[in-house]
Parts: sequence; C-alpha cells; structure tokens
Amino acid sequence: MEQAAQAAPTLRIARLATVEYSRALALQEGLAAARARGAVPDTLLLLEHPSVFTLGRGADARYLLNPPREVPVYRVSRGGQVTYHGPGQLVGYPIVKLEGRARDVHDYLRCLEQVMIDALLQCGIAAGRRPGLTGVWVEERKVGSIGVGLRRWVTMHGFALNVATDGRFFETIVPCGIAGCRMTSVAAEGRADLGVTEMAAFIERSFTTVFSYRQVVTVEANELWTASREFSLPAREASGPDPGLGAVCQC
Amino acid sequence: MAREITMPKLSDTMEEGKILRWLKHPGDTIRRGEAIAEVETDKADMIMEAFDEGVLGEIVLKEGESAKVGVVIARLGEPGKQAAQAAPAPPAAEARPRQKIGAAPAQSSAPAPPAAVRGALAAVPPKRTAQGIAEAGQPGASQSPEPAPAEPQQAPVQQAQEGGADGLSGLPEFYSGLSAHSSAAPTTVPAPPPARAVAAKAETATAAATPADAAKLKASPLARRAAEEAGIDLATVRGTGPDGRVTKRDIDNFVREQQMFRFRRLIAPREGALGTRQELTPMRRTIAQRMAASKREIPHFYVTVEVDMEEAVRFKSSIEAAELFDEDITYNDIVIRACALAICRHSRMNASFEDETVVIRPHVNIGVAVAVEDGLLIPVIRECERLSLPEIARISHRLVGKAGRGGYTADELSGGTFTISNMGMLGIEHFAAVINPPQAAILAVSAIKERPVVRNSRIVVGRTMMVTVSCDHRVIDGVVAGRFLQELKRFLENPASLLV
Repeated sequence: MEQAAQAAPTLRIARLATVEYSRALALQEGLAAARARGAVPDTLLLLEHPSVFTLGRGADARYLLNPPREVPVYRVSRGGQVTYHGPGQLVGYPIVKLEGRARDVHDYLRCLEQVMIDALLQCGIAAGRRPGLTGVWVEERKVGSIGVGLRRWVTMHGFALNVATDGRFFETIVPCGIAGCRMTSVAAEGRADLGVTEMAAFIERSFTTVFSYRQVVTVEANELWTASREFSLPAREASGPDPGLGAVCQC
Repeated sequence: MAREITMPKLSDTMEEGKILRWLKHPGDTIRRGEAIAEVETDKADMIMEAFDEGVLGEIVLKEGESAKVGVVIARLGEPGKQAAQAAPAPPAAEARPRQKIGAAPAQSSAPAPPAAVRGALAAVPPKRTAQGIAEAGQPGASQSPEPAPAEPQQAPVQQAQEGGADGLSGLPEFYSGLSAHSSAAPTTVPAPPPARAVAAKAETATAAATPADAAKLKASPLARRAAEEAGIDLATVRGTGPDGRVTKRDIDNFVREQQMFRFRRLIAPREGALGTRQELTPMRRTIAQRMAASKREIPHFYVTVEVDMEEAVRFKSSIEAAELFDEDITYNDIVIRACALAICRHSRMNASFEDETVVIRPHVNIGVAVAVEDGLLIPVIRECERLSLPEIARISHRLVGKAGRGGYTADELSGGTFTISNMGMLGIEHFAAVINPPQAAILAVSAIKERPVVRNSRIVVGRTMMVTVSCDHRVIDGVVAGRFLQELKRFLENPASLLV
C-alpha cells in the first residue's frame, strides 16, 4: 500500500472529549475551510459523540429499524448508509490537505484503515481489511468504520473506532446497510481494560506514522474552539456559493 | 459552443463515479472554481468544481447514476445563452454515456432510492447560507427573483406518527423527509452564521470582522453564551445595549431574523425552472401521500374569524420593553398559548377519528408547521395545556430553530394533536390549511394587517388578523368549530388572560 502523504511537515492533534455532533461538524467545516486557505496546518480531531444516528444523503431510512426515541437523528452531508456514534467510540476527524501523489481518495481510505489496524495491533488485536468492504474488521466482525468527504482535496469526516461502544445501539439499525453486519469493539475483543483515552494515544502514534508527519503539535481544546471563531469569519472566497461537503460513510 | 464536463478521476484506481447530487441545475451560471456536483467513488465523496465558465446546459448523468471516468456527465453553454440552445447534444455523445450507465446498474444498485435524494444534503450545523448571499449578489439571467413561497405552506402537514402508505413505519419515512430540508443551503462553513446570509448584517460583519475587533466586542455573558450555543459570531450582531453592547435579546432577534431569511431563501431554489421535471424527494412524496389522503378521506370544512390584534400588539411590545422573560414572545407563541387554552374548553378540537370512534387526546400537543426546503416539518410542543407563555416561547423557539440544521428526535416530530400553520410573515390575507391526519383540525394564521374597524360606532384604523380553522366534519361540527374560534378570539383580544 502506498503511503498517502509524502512527509507532511506538521500535524496538530486535538483531543476534544465529548462533543455534540452538530458542534463537531461545524468545527470540522471551519477547519476544512481554513485548511484549504492555508491558514492552519493539518489537524486531527479525536473525540467522542453523545449518542447519535447519522444517515448519509442517499441512505435508506429503512435501515433505521427501531432507534431509541430520545436519540437524535441527523441526515448529514455524506453519502452512505446509517451509522451510530456514541460513548465508548473513538471518533477521528482528520482535516488534512492531500497534495501531490497523495491526491488519491482510495489511497487515503486505505491509509485510514491502516491507522486503525496498526493501533489495534498495538493492543494485541489482529484486525484487517475485507475486500470491497471498507472499514476495519476482526474476522467478519466490524470494529472500525470509515467515511470521508473531500473538497479542494481537503478531507473531512474520517473514522470511528469502537472501543467500548454499547453494541445495543447498533442492533436498532442495519449498520452501513450491510444486513447481518456484526459490530464488535476493542472491549469485546478482549481488551476491556482499554478506554477511549488509551486508544486515542495508540491512534495518535499510528496516524503520525502512516501519514509520515515530521512534527506533531498538541492543541488544547480551548485553543481550538477559540481559534475556530477567527477562521470562521467570512472568507471572501472567489468561488461564490460554498456547497456542503459530501462525505460518505464507508462502512 | 458546448463544452463537456466529464467524470473526474479522483484516484488511480477509480474506474467509475456516481453523481450523488448536482449542486447546479440547467440554466445556472457557473464560475470557475464553483462547486457543481458531488461525486462518489467507492464511497468516498468529493465536491467537484468547475474548470470552466458558462451556463450549465444539460445534465447528462442524473443523480444516483454512475459513469466511467472521462465520460461526459454534463455540458456547458456560453454565458448568457439559453441552456438548451447552447447545448445541442450530439446524438452519438448522448448515446455513449447512457450505455455506460446501463452497464453499471449492478454496481450502483444501492437500496437507497438515489433519484429521490436530490438535494438531500442535510448539512446539519447551523449553516452559513453563503449560497444565499452569493446568489443574490450574482448578476445574470439565472438569478430568480424572490419567489412567493406559498406552495409548501398550503400542505402544512407531514407528520409521520402513523405508518406511511408504503407500509413503512412512519418514522423512518419521516427521517428521510428530514433530509430535504437543509439542502438548499449546502454549505461548508462553520457553525456561525446563517447569519452572514443576511445582507445587511453581513456589512456590519465586514466592518467589525477582524479578530482584534472581535476581542473588543462588548457583549453580556448571557449573550455570549447564547451566541455560542446558536453558533453565531458576535461580530455579526449589532448590539442595541449601552455602547453597542450585544445583549441576549439581540442574539435572539438575530437568530429569528436568520430563520426568516432562510425561510425565504430556502424555498426558492427548489421550485425548479419552468419546463423541468423533478424527482420527488422523500419528503415531497410523504407530503403528497398524506395530503392527498387527507383531502380524499376527511370531509373538511372551514370557519374563519377576524381577530382584533390591537391589544396583542401592545401586549407583545410591552413584554419586550420590560424584558420580563429570557425570550421574546412572538405572535406565534401567543397563538399557540391561546389555542391551548381554547382547546381545553373544546376537546373535540383535540381529537382523532379512528375506527368509527372519536378519540379525544389526553394532552394538547400542538405542532407548528415550519417551512424547510421543498417541504415542511411539524415539530410538536407537548402538553401545551400545562405550559406558560414563556415556556411555550422557549420550547417553540428551540424546536423551530432546529429546522435549519436538523437533529430532531422522533419525539419532537410526532404525537401532535393539533397543528398551527402561520403565514403571517408572508403578509397573507387569508388562507385555509389541509388537515394533518390523524388530527381533526388545523389552524391557518394570516398576517396582522391594518384594516378599518368599528369602535364605539366609529370607523378607525385597527390591526386585525384572520384565522381559519379547517375541521374534520366526522369529529367536529360547525357549532364546535365556531365556539372554539370565538374562544380563541376572546383570548387573543384579551392577551392578559394568556399569562394567567
């Protein structure tokens, strides 16, 4: 597999704890716009969401079988089917500019898989790929999902790794539109001792390696939220209307 | 001369791409670098930008269809020329992509009905409707004048608490409806501002928009928190407090203004150009089914009353001036409260016709029709009979505010027992709404207008509002409807009663 990034210089990593879905999406959008302008370096957001179901633009609502009534449902600007985010799931949103040879969406997806595979290996879980079914699997059980969107070769959305996710939420949907798709988690694969924080450390390391960053900077959550106000100020772009990012749940 | 737009190659291994969504439509002016479509390959998704300028002539590859890399997906005409003339499709070129499409269905046969998904992007966060601005500021033939978006309002119903006609549980169908709403404002940008869309505000924004200035902005802590929650950039809000200090009230008004703006802009683009055919979005389909069923099965009758709003206007402004409550009270909130009180005295207005029985509901759950793109949603305020006016205001503003960004729970969109459709903001003289099954009545609220009224045997200029209730005659008789309206009128004309 080709390395998607050719020694990108700096990566900022921000651990954001638990962030409401729409708020995180807004942050991503702000960062992506700023990244496209060159105002900020590549950034990896690591966070958890409160329980939420999201449907892709083309998703079939029938895959939402019997969602708990108190859980919000977003139809979001991505393709793909329905998925669940919630406590115990580590979500990674890389806002990365793909340049040069790295401008290859399939390579990028494979790289995200590699990030999760490497991190899982660090905790003794042998995970891998399944042909045609993007995501990360332990045998035929899915542990990590991927969905990305790109605009001007800047990425949004990303991956979701089930660390200690409550599997019952997945039972109320048809995850990723794959009937009979079994979901698993780091905990269910025998490492119940690891939490989202521990996994985030593994992910940080493998992400840095897979994408060959020379330098890694940690940003405080507060700093990022404050900064997000600045870069979200009107950026008079020549392109006029700014359409939504599309992302596709890879599932 | 027509130029071709082809399926881009987004990866060395990419063979085929699928159009998820066209962001431009035939006749639209396209500028270099503008986003024109969303393309999906192997489930990664990319915004495609124009390399060329012109008018989008013809869309060859429809939404949901796939084609090989390099195949023509659309044609560009010259700016200024009519699309159709600019792009006479050579038959051979036409045939080629179609073949490819034909070859691809196995691959693209996702269970989702892609054609129905047109514009179903639901960017969730509060969005900056930059699109709105840019379009408004764009010269050229493609710009449409502000439309009169009355159409969706006339079918103010799309509730999915019952199973849909297609046998699905109504819930998912409803969620698919949710999708449609924000697609008109597809946007990248960050939380902040649908706000910037408001042209006048945008100017103030540019004036005060540097970070340095932002730091100096005066705002109350309450306002800051409210702005943060609403995803608003304080710099875009004009403060009305001392020294231009931004108050919570400014934020609230700003949010409402944005909603109004969005309301007007949103519906515009989805009407489509003359002479075009449009696939139904899931929401459109649901509205079509439910409205047709309502008119087919429910014997509607309509009763109208003119309400003197003089006191209500005074009431509202005095509450505002006194800043008694956290949230301003809107006319819509006043009508909701008055309806709740009137319904408590006329329970038949809160009923359903079911299996040859009349079921009177235990709580007054009032749905408020909210226009969203190419359709509407009806968030429900539960147990209104137990809520004070400020509580209603708080809940309804929260629910209505969500329409622009989604994130409703199932509970918030179901269980209504009565619906209010308010077209006051559109200056409507009078209208009647279609009942939202399984409810038995819906109230159509028109604008408050200056009209001649008789007071003390003299004709003076007063402010009145027409309200029309549409009733299911199987449940409600004329006398009940008349009394209900009479009661409603009395509450509205004596607004102090609403605070009791």
